Amino acid sequence: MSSIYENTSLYVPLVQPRRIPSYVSIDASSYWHVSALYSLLFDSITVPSRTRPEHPYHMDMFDFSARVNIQGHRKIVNPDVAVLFDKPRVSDLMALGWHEVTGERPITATVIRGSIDDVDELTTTLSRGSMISERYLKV
Amino acid sequence: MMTSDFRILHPQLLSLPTSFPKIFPHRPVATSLSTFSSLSSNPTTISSRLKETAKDARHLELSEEREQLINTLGEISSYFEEDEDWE
Repeated sequence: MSSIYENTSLYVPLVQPRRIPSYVSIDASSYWHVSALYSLLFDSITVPSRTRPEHPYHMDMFDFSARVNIQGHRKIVNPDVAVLFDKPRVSDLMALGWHEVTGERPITATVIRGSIDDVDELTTTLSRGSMISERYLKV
Repeated sequence: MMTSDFRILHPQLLSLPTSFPKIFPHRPVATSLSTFSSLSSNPTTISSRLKETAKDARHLELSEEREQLINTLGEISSYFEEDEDWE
């Protein structure tokens, strides 16, 4: 990490989640299963950058990373992911990064995929604070 | 205090290939999913973890590489300790 830090836009440490939500059942010793959790995150967080530029949902990775690395040199970020089933709860989130210091209020950039009835309620439920700078696109 | 959050709502569901393991027992035949994913900058958490790593690095045997690693980790950690003066 120390040798590549200067040349990265974001550095996302990945660790096996300490707590698995009840809607997931994995064999923790299986790379296939654990990597599936990482793929949920990777596929979701990068979808705006893989969308064609003419679509309103497009956003390049540089812009996205700038939303969370707002100072320019705070490149290490913690990833979280949740699959949205019937009634999302905060316990549905899987923390795939470093264990957080309790009570810290982070700066967060979020990608929500799919057709969501009440995105504000979802955001309130799963985020750590109110969204004061956002890009909301109606489906 | 620094507070800034961002979200983007993307209509495309996450498609599950047939090779995806069956890890959702209540939805064994699901072929696509809605998801919530986020990246968070947690300065205190990151700084704390980097300091732990630097402490571990002091046990490395190669002194030149050890010092370089500790210095770099200290430099990166300092980025997460600077005060912010905007909101």
